Amino acid sequence: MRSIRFRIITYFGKIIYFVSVKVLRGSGSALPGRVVEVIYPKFIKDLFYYQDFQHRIIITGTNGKTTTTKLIVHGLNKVSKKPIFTNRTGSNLPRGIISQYLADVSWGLKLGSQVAVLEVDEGMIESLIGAINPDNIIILNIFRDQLDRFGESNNVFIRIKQKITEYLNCNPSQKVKIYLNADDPIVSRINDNALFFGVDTTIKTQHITTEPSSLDYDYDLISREPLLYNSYTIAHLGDYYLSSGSWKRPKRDFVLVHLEKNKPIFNTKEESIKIDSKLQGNYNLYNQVAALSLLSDFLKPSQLSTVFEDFQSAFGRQEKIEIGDNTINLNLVKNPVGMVECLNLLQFQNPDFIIFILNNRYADSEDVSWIWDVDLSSLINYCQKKNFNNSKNLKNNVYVFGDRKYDMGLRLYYSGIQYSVITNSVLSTINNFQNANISIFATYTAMLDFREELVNNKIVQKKLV
Amino acid sequence: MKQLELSLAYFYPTLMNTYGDYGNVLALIHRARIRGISLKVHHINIADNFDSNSYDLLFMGGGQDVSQSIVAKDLMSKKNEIKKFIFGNKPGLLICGAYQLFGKEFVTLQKEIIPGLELLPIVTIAHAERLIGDVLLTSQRFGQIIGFENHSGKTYFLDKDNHPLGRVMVGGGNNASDGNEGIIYHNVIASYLHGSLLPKNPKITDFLLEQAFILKYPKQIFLKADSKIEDEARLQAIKKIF
Repeated sequence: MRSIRFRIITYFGKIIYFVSVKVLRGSGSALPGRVVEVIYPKFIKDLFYYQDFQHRIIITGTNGKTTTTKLIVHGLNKVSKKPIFTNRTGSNLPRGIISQYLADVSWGLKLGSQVAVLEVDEGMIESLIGAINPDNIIILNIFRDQLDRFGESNNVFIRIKQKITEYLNCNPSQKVKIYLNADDPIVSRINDNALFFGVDTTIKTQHITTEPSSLDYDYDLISREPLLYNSYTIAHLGDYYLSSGSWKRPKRDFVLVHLEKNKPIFNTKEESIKIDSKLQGNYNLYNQVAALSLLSDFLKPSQLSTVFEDFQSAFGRQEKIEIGDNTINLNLVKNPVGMVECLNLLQFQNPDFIIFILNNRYADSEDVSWIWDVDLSSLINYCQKKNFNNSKNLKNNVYVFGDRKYDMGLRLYYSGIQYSVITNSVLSTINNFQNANISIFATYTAMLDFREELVNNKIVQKKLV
Repeated sequence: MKQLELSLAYFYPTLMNTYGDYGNVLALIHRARIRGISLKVHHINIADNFDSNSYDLLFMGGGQDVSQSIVAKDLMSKKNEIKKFIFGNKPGLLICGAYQLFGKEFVTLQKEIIPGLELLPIVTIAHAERLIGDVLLTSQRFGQIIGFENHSGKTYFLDKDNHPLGRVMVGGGNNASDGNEGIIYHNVIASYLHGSLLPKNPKITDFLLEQAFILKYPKQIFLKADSKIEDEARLQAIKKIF
């Protein structure tokens, strides 16, 4: 039975949610939760205490949380009659999870969900794991990200490892499944008895071994020995070992094998399943294998094969939008490794115009230093291939916008890429193009701003969910 | 005429590159190139030999704690050559962790003393609280300097006559108390500022290149170069700080 205080706060929160969405025309993905969190800090703990979920699945890591969460929900929806409770908008701080609850719970305080699938900010794992009490935990990767918020990535590793170990020790009777990315030498060190997943791919991320800046780790954080690699997939992810022979990549329980042009094949200990999917890029192979590993507990092999066939990308994750006769590919960029991977998609998106939107508000990282760690090789190659830098070419093909557009411009300038500065708005720039294919690379709040502009111009619908 | 060439020793590019400091190398390459100078970048890694005569410029960035402890050991074996480099008035740029490692010592939170290279007259003391945020300095030589700091060590001058890189107008600087940020010692500039430092502070980039150039090509003129694109980014960043 819910306490009276919890009930009153929930009603109050629902009213704020209603006002923020209907009256203030906001997205409602943060504000209502924030208010409730301030007046009732234990709300999220009580929510998961009162709500009798059969499964509580959390997904964390630096990159890929939102897509992996969405893939899992997409899969579970095929076998579950009841709705899945999930933070759909990628709002992964406690305020986002609370806001989602306020949106979903009925005025009779019924939720109707038996399964919760939540992406959790890696900086919030410490406070949330005890509150959510998950029975499935997925850890995707640890890259350097927003040093001003999270601190150095080896500290992130130490915090997550400690917290997970503590959590397992406190719950010896409960069966907790942990899925770790075996290819990430930081993540695979978090727990030895986990289930491990990984990717084998022949599609190479460009220049991965020559550019020092996108590699986070040369050393094993536990033994402090140098890491050696048989092969890389993304940044420091790959098939690694220590020269002393004392440690190497753990044996993988789930592997997604992607050979050039063929459909990816999902290998478990028992099965080998061809996967239908439209998702592109190496990092999406990781998102898919993480989701498939977990889904293999809930779906039959025949269901797994087609589970992603009709999957729609999450907000701003290679999302396609039509504006007039122009097509937009939206790519969210947050950190060096993620941006390098997104730029690699230029070869698939094949744009006529490229727009970079750089903001540096709290959710983006206030420090813009990270853009200097992005290896722009695939952008440089693409611009050369398309002749974007030809001085006879009077049309501009690369644009910058955002709170720190001139920093972005300087970054491009130092890599020899010609660009123009957008002075009015992104949408009006796009409306000047005709029948064009456009790729946008934007930071988090820049993506929200652009979405707002689209909503105000009635190009997309209000709701993100 | 022979191609003008300068050679940069880029110390520990993978280990000491956590905060976007690679932008400094790109800035040096770019502002050398617009003057017709080719800047050759040489990586100096763990166990590599460093011969000071082979290089005109030195750069080293900041790293994570694990990397820094590995680097600290290796640097000792290169100390004599680095000393020759600095006292030969060759220019260098040391950011964050590198700044600390070149000092006399680093005192950890547990009061443990980690010896430094003792090439800069500074000492750094760890603090539980980090200094994080935008920084604005003023300097007679470089005018306004902008960057972003993120460090828990507080650095103090051992000699009152040391020259800071600039005086702090916004931010913490070396230690959040004496108003100094960074140090200029011979022709080496050391600082906590990321951002990266050089792209938005082209006067510092030019200073480093010019010092290297006049030592190598004493009879030639170091050309002037405009900094329109850099200044746009500077203005936007300064506006954001205020």
